[in-house]
Amino acid sequence: MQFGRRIPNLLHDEHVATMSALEKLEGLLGRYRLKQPPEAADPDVAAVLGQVASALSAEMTTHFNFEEEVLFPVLMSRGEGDIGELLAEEHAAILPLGERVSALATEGRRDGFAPDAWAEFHRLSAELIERLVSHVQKEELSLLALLDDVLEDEDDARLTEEFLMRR
Amino acid sequence: MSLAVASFLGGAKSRLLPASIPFRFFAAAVAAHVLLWIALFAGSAEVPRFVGGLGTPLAAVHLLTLGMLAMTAIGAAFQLLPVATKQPMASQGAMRLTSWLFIPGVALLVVAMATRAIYLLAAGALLATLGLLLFAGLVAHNLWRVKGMGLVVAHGRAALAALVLVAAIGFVLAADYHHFWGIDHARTALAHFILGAFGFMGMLALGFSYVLVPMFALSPAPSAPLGYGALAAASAGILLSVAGAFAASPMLLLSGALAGLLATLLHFEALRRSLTRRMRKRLGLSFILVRGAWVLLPASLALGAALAAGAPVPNGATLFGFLALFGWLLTFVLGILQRIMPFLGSMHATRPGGKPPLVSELTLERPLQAHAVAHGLALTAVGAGIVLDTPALVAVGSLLGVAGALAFAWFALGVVRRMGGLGAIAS
Repeated sequence: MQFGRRIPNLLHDEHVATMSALEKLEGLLGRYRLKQPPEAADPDVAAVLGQVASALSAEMTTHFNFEEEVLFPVLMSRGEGDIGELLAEEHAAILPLGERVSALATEGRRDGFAPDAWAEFHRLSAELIERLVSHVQKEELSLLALLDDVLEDEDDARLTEEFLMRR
Repeated sequence: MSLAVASFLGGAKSRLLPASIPFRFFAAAVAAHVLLWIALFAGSAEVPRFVGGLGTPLAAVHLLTLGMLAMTAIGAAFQLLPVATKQPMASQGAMRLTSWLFIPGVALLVVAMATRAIYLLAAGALLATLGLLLFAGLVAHNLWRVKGMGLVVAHGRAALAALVLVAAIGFVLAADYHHFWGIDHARTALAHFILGAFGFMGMLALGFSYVLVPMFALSPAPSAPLGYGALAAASAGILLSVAGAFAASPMLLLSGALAGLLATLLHFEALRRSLTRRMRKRLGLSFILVRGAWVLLPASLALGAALAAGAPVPNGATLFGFLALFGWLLTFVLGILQRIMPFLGSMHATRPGGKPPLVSELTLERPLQAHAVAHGLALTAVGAGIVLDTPALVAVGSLLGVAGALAFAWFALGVVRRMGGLGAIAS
C-alpha cells in the first residue's frame, strides 16, 4: 500500500499495469525500427501486442471514464477542480491515440504488420508512450496524493465500490 | 513531503510565469556554460595549481558558480517554487529586476576577475550581490507562507541562509582588493567556497532532488526521516567546515567532510529506496549525468577528508574544488536542466484547446548525446591535468568542454526554436 486510502491504491495498481505494458511496448519499438516490422508469429512480439491491445482499449477507457464521471466531480466539489480539468484535457488527446494503437496491435497480432501499418503503429505508439507516461506522472504525483488528502472515509468507500463495479 | 510532489504537476500549468522570466536565466546560464570552458582554456597554464587569486581561472570558477549554477537555480526556483509551494512569487517585476541586477553584475564581475580590474570588480560584486539578495528575499517570502512540504522548505531555508553568508563574504573579499582590510584571503575564500558549493548550491541540489527525482522516475516520495537526517548532517558538516576554514583547523575540516559524507549517504539511501520502487524503468540520458554527479559528490568529500587528514594528493586542493564544482554540481545541473527546459517549454507552448506538444518534440537528442560524451571526456582530461600538473591536458579538456557546451547550447536553442522562437517566449 502506497497511499492511506483505498481508491488511490486501486488507481495506482492500474497505473503499474499500464506502465508495464508501455515499457514492453517501448522495448518492442526499440528492437524493431520504423522500417523493420517484426514477425507477428514471434511469441514475444505476440505477447507484447496482446498486452498492449488489452491495456489500451477497454482498461484505459474504463479508467478514464471512472475518473471523469465519478472522481473529478468529487474533487470539484472539494474545490480541487483544476487538476481534473487538466487531466480530462489529456484524456481527450490520449484516448483516440490509444484506440488506434490498440486496433493496430490487434490487427498486427492477427495478420502480421504490412510496412505501412508498422510505420503507423511505431509512430503512434511512440507518441502514445510519451503522452501516457506524462499523464500517469501527473496522476501519480498529483491526483493520487491529493485524493489521500481531501477524501473522507465515506467518499473512499463509495468511490471504491463504484470503481470495482465498473470492472 | 508528499504535497511537494503532489501539487507539483497538477499546479504547474496554472502557475506558469511568463516564459521570458525563467528562460532569460536559462539562456544566460547556457551562455556562461560555454564561456566558463573558454575561460578555463585561456587560464589552463595556471589551473593545475590554482587555489585562488584574481585571473582567468577565478573568472572561470565564477562563470560556473554564479553564471551557470546560480543562474539556473534562480530561473528554476522562480518557476518551480510557486508551482511546488502553491504560493505565487511576490512580484514579477522583482524577478525581472533580479535578472537586470544579477546578469550584468556577473558579467562585470568575471570580466573584472579575468582582467584584474579592481574598480570593475567592486561594481560587479555589488550588482551581483544585490541580485542574489533580491532573489533570496523573494524565495524567503515564498517559503515563509508555505504549510507542509517540510523537507523541501527546510532545504530551501538552509540554502538561503548559506546564500546570504556566501554573498556577504564574496562582497567583502571583492571589496578588500580596494580597501586592504587585511583579510586572510585563503581562509576566507575557502569558507566562501564551502558555503557556496555545499551550502547554497548543495542544499538546493538536495532539496530539488526530493521533488524532481520522484517526478521524473515516477517513484514514491523519498523517506522524510532519511531526508531530515541528511539535512542535519549536511548542515553540521558545512558549519564545521566553515569554522575549520576560518580557524585553519584540519580537525574541524576533517569532521566537516565526514559529516558531509554521512549526509551524502543518507541522501542517496533516501533516493535509492525511492528509485527502486519507480514505475519508469528507462530514465534516459539526463539520469546518466545525474548519476555521474552522484558519484562525484562523495568523491569530492572523500578527497576533502583525505586532504584535511594530511594525505599527499598532488594539487589536491584544486582537484577538490574541481570535483565539487565541475564534477558534482555542473554535471547535476546539466542533467536537470536538460529535463526541465523542454518540460517547461512544452507547458508554455500549449495553446488553449490544442494538444500539448511532446517533450520529445522540443528535445534534440543528438546534441545532448554529443554533450554528454564531451562533458565526461572534459572532466576526465581536466581532472587528470590537475593531478599530473599538466596544463596541456587541462587545455585539451577545456576544449572538449567548449565542444560539449556548444552542443548543449544547440539543444537549448532547439527548445526555444521549437517552442515558437524568441517571440513566443517574449509574449
